[in-house]
Amino acid sequence: MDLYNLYRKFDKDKICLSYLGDFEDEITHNIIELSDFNIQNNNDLVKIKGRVSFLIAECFQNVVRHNVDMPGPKTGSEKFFQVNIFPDLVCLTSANPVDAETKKFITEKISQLNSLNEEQLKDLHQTLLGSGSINKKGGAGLGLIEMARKSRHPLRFFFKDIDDRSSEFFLTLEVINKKAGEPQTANHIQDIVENYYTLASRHILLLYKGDFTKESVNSINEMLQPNLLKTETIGPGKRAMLVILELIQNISKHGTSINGSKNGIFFIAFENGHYNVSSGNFIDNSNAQKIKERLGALQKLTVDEVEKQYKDVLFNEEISAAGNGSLGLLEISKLSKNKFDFSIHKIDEEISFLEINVKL
Amino acid sequence: MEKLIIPATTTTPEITFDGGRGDFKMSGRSFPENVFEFYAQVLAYIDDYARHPQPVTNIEFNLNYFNTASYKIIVKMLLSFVKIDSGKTKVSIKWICQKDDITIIEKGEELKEYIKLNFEIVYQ
Repeated sequence: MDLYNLYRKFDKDKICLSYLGDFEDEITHNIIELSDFNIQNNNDLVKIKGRVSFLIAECFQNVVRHNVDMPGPKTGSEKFFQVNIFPDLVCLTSANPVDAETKKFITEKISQLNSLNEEQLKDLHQTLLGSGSINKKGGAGLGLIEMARKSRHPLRFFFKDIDDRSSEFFLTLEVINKKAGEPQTANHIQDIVENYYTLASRHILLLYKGDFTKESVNSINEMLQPNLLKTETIGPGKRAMLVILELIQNISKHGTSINGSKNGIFFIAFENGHYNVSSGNFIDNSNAQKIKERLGALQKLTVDEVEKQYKDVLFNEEISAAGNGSLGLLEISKLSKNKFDFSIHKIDEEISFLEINVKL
Repeated sequence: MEKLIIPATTTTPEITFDGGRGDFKMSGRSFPENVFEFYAQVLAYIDDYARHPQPVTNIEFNLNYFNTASYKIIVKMLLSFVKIDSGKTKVSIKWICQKDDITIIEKGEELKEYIKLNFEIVYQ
């Protein structure tokens, strides 16, 4: 029930994508593409697509630039970026550790910006650009002003003290298509902060909750580039990426569609030198027993037996558009040396939730 | 025979097939959502080539990431070449991999064991 509980935390989100850890600019592009795709499919949001792409890039810059590298062991305060797409708004959150001086600067700046209207923000932006006043972090708060102007909504922020010298700075931007009316859903920053600590405590590097229909999977796969985990391109990091590709394919081919969406979740975590990869999706109760027996039988196989079955399916079974037999599951078992577990939870009379957890 | 050239994308490999010279190269990543859509023209090209192959056929794989659906397609491609080997053409395969990339090396070893062609694993 563990992963299902996590899934439920993002119940209202159409899409949630969380990214913790080391940030590289090239990842920004992948995340913008995935967000663009999901926004494109939503009539109420399509008009804000350009602003959202801009703000994702700004948020990333914010995390990369306004960050202090904490000495010593990890404190549980990681760099963090999250996109939540609701039917009527997009919510972007970044978090990163900052020192006391930056905290003071940010607090004053955002309080000032939130008190200004659109015209005043524009004037302030032009004044600062003209003055050439650039602070040591690179921007005289211009990034924040741009965020306030583009989101057209007050910036929400929160500091969680790490120690007496530093804090984790959370910044949330809400982008709303005002012509579509006031949003019915809003993400309170405290909920986001709480979710962040849930993810951080589980050492999650990447979490996606959302749709796994064919078109979405294309965008997810495009995001899942080998350098996403910023780990070695060989070894356990690579095996984790290969496992996630198979799990996504599995959900896309065999997940149950509810109201036109194949909803599911996956995450990749890294703890004590091991990757944990988990996925969860809905299945028809009529298939639950068959899936339970298939996965149960796979779990009981020895490494050699997995190897044998894998080769049998690879070389002897015909490939079909409905899926490639059980090769994907056998690959997961092979890559993890059979260190995987699963559970099936009945949700109602029609559907159940299947969780698969793989350790690498 | 005209060349088949497909540029790489973030989820599909670069394909450089030159049936006129008997050269077939595939490199990069392969995890498209639908392998059939992507590989339909690739498999069709190989079928065409198999009717009138060159005396020597050189195949080179330099893949660093692929999913099992793509792996099945690779097997299917190689089995098409097995059918014409020895009789119509002499087929050689180079499977290029980084020397410490165990996942790709293992795949090469599996293929080498099963696919009865001149199969060389080349470590970079």
